[in-house]
Amino acid sequence: MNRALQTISTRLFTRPVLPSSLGILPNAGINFIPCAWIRQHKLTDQQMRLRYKKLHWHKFYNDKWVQRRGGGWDEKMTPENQTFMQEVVYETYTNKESPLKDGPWKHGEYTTNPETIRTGVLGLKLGTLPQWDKKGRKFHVTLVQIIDNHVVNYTPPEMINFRTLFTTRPLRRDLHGKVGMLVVGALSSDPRKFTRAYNGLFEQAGIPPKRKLTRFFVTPNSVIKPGTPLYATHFRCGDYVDVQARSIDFGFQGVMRRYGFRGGPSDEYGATKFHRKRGTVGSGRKHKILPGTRMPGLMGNKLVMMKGLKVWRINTKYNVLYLMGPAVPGPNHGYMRIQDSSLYERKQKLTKDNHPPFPTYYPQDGKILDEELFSDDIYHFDQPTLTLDDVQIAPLTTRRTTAKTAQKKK
Amino acid sequence: MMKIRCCLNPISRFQSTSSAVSRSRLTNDEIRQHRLRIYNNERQTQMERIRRVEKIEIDVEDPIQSTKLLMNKNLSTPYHCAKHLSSVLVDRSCLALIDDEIVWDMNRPLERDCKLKFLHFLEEKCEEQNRAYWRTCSFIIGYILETAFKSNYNVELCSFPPPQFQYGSFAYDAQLNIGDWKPTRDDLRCLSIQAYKLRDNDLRFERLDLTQSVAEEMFKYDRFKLAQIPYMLRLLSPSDNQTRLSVYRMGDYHVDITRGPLISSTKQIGRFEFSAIHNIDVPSYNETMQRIQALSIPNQLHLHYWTFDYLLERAKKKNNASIPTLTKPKTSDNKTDKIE
Repeated sequence: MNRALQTISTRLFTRPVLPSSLGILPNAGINFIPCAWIRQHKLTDQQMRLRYKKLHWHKFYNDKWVQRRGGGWDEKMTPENQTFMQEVVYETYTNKESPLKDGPWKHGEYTTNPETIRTGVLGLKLGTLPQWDKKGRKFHVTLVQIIDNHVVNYTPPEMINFRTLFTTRPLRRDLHGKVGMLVVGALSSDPRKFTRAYNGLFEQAGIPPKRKLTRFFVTPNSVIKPGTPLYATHFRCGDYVDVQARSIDFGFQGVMRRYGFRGGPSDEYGATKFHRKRGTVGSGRKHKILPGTRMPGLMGNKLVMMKGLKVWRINTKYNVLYLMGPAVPGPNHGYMRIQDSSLYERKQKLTKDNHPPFPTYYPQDGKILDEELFSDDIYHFDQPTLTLDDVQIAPLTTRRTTAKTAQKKK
Repeated sequence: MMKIRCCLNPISRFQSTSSAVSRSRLTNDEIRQHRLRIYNNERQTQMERIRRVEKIEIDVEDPIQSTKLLMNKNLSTPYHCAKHLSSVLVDRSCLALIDDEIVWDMNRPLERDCKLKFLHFLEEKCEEQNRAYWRTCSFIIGYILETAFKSNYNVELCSFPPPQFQYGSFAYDAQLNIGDWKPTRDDLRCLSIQAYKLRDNDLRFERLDLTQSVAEEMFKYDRFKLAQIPYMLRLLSPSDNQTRLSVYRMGDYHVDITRGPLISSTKQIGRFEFSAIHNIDVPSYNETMQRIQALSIPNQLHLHYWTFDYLLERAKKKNNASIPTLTKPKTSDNKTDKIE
């Protein structure tokens, strides 16, 4: 994530330009323009860390917007009354039709020229499992469940104060005034756990109140009507995905665990009072400690983005995505935002004919999906076993390295 | 909207001994002040009858502490006893139980040696407290109706039915004289806010027993109340030969006829929401009146707003409790009456 801004300058020098990123500048066709806001050099790690400090502490939902939790006191009700009220809560939300007057909203068209950004989805990290590809190689996969997602609200681009709201990704100035905001919620729950103001957010869409809310910035053609559910099939198998989540909270940690410093030797070598310390803190003749100097402090519990994770497999019954890698940020049962990847190479492959379900996946009445959907490369155990003929074995004899031959000559 | 009220009704059934004075030029406020004035005068005369202060012994039985107190006869109330013991009892107790039998108001003077217990809303058996609470809330609806409307509208209170939980709400029957007024949700909300203001003022409910003549003087301008008085008189204590009528005053604000005990003070009101206004036909008075319904919960009980809203939906339906009727006066001492 920290390399995002860095790549702008390198991209301009080396690769053909994606037309959207230079939409504002007057000479749109030329690769290199000497302009004030294009950086000519790379930023150091330290400088990147200082820039994205605010972004690290972004919260999916802040209680200052609308007070969320309410109730929770001991209502002295008889057990019969308690079970009765539980049934009432279930009944109010099972047969609810949307109270909105107008019918479904018109589906937009997927366009690559003015860039289209689809909604993301709120998921829950479940754990990791091993999977195997068609060559027999094992890799790890994180399961992410997309629980009870519904679109709660939409605000059009004119009503958005861009600079204050767009806090989840590095600021993309070219999107200013062009994106609307969709609020997506996960995990329906009892309205008696929340305040009246929070419950009112969901009344217009006719959904039960959700435990977790986030915002997604979306181009106006990929608007979804509030009240529609979002499923795991919002993505296809083989798509690439960006995941944002709060990393595991390690608390106050020293410099060795936090930044991987090497520290000092043990007591055995006579080291006095230098085993896990940082060492010097100064930087030459400057009479100050540079901002961003790496020292002990709170580690983890900050918003981290992992880009380009492949979706290997989808379970449609429980709405579970199998994402590449065991290192998806956050502990188990942590919430995460999942969006289409913003990596250049992955975006290039999406065209008008080949794009994920747009604006989202709507289940059709006749068509029922298989319970498990697999991408092309993955090996699933329904198939016949892999044989050694499928797999290439490296030859036993290897060429000698130059160093050994040089020794032998001597 | 000035209507000249002629209180001399052609139907002789409820023509009282003293004819009711027309209230064409008096506003609700002035009538209320008149009632309060007469209440004050009567109370003063009754207090002056107590020549000397006699002592009575009261045995307070409370799970926290049980003591014996020496209090003044006909002057001290259970509220004063509670003040001697603890502030928890003062705040939470709404009724008092004398000799494990008789339910007594907190602000009503004690007359003899007795055993005393304090009742509050969080006990296992709280039917008496709940009924007293809804009775008080009906009483409060009467006050709000008299004060909430503009001075050119004349509201005539009739009576309220006894509290019954199966109907989902408590009510007050009154002649609003407004014509076809369908209150919106915001109008009902404004009425409810008046009740919350009473809670902040912490008004006490005091009881007074009146003779027929004093009662008729007090309700000179209320034709419905005047008609009810002969049917409400009862022998309240064996030592007294005169039949009396029990009347309650809320703080310094409002006086009304009720029989049963009311709670200690308006501080104990929790949520109070007006739910609906329905029209009812009253054959006894030969009129169509309005029944104003509301729902309330005491302060001690905490309910989530969602559950309360669900109960409010039930309270909006028409309350089928008994319509105000004038039963014929029996010759025996115990007279039947329809108001609690």
